[in-house]
Formats: sequence, structure tokens, C-alpha cells
Amino acid sequence: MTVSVRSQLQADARRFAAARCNSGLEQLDREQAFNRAGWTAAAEHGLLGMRVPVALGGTARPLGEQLEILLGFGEGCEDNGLILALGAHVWACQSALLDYASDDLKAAVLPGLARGHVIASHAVSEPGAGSDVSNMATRARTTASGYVLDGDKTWVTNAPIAGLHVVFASTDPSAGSRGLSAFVVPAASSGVRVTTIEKMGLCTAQMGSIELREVEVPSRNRLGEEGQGFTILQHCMAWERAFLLAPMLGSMTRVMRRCVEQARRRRQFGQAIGEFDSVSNLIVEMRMRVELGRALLDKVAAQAATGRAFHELASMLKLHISEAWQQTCVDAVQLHGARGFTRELGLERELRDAVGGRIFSGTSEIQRRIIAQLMGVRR
Amino acid sequence: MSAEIQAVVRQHLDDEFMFMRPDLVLDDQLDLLGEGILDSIGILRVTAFIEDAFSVVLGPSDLISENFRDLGTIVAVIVAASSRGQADRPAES
Repeated sequence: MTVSVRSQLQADARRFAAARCNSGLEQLDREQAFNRAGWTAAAEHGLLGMRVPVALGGTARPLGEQLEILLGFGEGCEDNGLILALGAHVWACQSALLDYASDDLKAAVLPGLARGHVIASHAVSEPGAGSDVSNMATRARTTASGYVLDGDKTWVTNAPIAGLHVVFASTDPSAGSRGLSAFVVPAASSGVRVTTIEKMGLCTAQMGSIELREVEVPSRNRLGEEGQGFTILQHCMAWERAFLLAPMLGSMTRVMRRCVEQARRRRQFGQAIGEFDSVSNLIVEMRMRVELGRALLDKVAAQAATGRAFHELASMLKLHISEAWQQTCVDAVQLHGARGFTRELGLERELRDAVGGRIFSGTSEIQRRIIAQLMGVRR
Repeated sequence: MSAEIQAVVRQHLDDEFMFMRPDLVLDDQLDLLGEGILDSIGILRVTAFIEDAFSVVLGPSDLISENFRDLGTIVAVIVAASSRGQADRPAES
């Protein structure tokens, strides 16, 4: 891909997002409401089908093109909650379906997901088991026609608006993480009940808890083999951790540009505040975080494109971007002083959103643990 | 070829995992899962090593725990992946 193509993809996505995804954002954030117009616009722009084969309603773009588009989208779209909703739909859910669903199941569900008519959620965490999936309590009991699921999932992004849930459950509790299996559960299934959870940030992304009570799931809705759930989960999480936060490099760039403007125009003690080292240094650090994140993103993408495992790099990238995002937003609020702390500029919303980045998809602490495990430092 | 692959994998398992169980000797049939030598994270580590060392891609159907049960099974998986010639097949580029 040439530099001009990369720039064009980014610029097109940035312009589209700025024009169609930010309407009424302050009110949506206050009301914790889903940005339906932004979702529809993203679908029309093809953002939800970039990974899906053309025959199944997608556009099957090369990964490099997908990332350029997402970087531009992140810079133009000020609704970080919409970016999270889109990312969970694409990276966590579509990854599971693309690589582990039967051909019939793919044909049944992927066209709707690629076009955005159906929204997907990825149900892993439980009240008693977040990242510790070996203690998952949700059970899938075998029946003559398939399975019956019982359990409770929580902190599930998209759950209140999803048409289908990718649910992880234990088919063999005695086997721990090797006894997990994954299922596609239509949201309209009997025995499924969803409640909404309010959050401090990323407010337009709808998060919920899912009750599963005697939910019948046919065998054809199982992903992969029985007992392959942990592998499927690790596969999905690698894609999610690697690329869900890619748009936030664009988001950070947008915030940084605002800081540059502030540094040029705001005057104190007879000069622009950018002339003070304490201000210009903050902006230099913002730029460094973006550029280092971009370099690591390209490295992870190159590895992912080979088809080989990239779990360790994915955790490093997730850790870097999420911490960089939060620090950039903290510094942006500080640099704008009292106005930065008010709601007037929207920077406090950016900061509330960024705090979530260090928590979802495995906390920063969990990412460090995974990296240490994959390095063989600890079990 | 299998003997060479086996030697490389054995060395890796010895270096990276067997130190946790000095009471056991690694042979073709040692139950790596049952003895707790390889857990789920361990399988991910071995997968990354295999793909790097042998320039193969292990696909979704390869990544089941039974394929990492013992040294002999792991070698068979590598031989099968090599014969599929997946090394040059990009998943998404």
C-alpha cells in the first residue's frame, strides 16, 4: 500500500466520521444512550464488514487497509463509546465466527453482522470470574438436540442492543479452562434476559448483564469443537486486544491537535503558553506515544497477517495504547486548565472514556500478567 | 525430518517447561497436560514457538488441547502443518 493510498483511506474515514458520527454526542453521553445514527453511518461506510468475505456481505479488505480506515475513523469520530461498540462487534465476535463457525452458521449470521443490521456481543465475564475463565460458572449441559445453557454474564459490551451473543460456557467443569466451549445464542432465545449497566465513561457503548436460564441452543450453534472454548477465546481476545484500540491512536491525535492549538493561542505572562517547557513537553510526550503506538500496531498487524499467533504482541499493544490514551487525556485536561475540567470542551468526557481503556478486554494488570506468562517468567 | 523436529521440540520443552517438574523425564509419551506441564497458556507458548521455529501456521483445527498431549503428538501436528504448506499462506494481508 502506497503512502498516498494510506493517507487517502485515513482522510476519507476521518471526514466521514466527523460529518456523520458526532451528532448530539454531549446529550447521548449524558443519557448513556446508544449512537444509533453513528452505528448506521459506520455500517453504510463499510466499517462493520471489512473482515467479512464478499460472499457473506462484507468487503474483505486487507488488514492494512482496515487499520488505516480505523485510524482515520478514530480521529474523526469523537464518540469513543461508538468505537468500542464497533470494536467488540468486529474484533471479538466476528473473529470467533469467521474462524470457528460452520459454513452454515457463517451464512446465517455474518451477512447481518457485516451490514450492521444485527449487533453482536461477546459474553465471557461473570460476577465471580472476570479474566479468571478457568472458574467460569456458566454451564452448557448436553441434550439430545444440543445444549442447555445456565449462568450469568456481566460487563458485556453491546449486550442490551445485541441480536446475538457469543457465549462461553463450561461443558466439562472438571477440566477447567480445557472444558470451555463457545456458542452463538440469539438474543431472542427463551430464557435470555439482559439488564443495562451504567458506566462513568464510554457511555454511548451499551453494557449489560445477561441472565441465561435453561436456554436451549442447537448443536449447530456451537463454535469449533466441544472443549475448544479457551482457544477460541484466546483467539478472539488477541484480535480484540490488538486492534480494538487502534482507532484511539486517531483519537489521541485529535486531542493532541487541540492541545497544539491551545498552546499556540492561549497567552499567559505575555507569551503563548507553548513557550513554556512544561507545556511543550506535554505535547511532545503525546506525539511520542502516538508514534510508538503506530509502530507497534504495524508490527502486530504484520504478524497477524501471516496467520501466526500474536497473543503476546497483542497484549503489549493493548497495554501501550490504553495507558497512552489515558495519559494523553489527563495531560490535555491539565493543559486546558479550568476550561479543560468543565464540560464545555468535552475533554473531561475524553478522559472518562480513556479510563475504560485500561479496564476492558483485560485490565493493564492482566495484560502485564499475560505478557509475563507468555515470556515464561511466571505460570 | 520427524527426528529433527522432535529434537528441536524436545529441547524447547526441556528448556522452557520441564524445569518445573524435575521428577519427570520427557519422552514421547509423557502426558504433558495430565502432568500439568502444559496448561492453556503453555499451549499458546508452544504454538508460538512451533510457528516461529518451523515456519508453519497452526490453524483453528490444530489448536485443540489433545494435539499437545505429548511430544509425539506435537511432532505429528508439525509434520502435518508442514505438509499442508501453510507457511506462505497469509491469513489477512
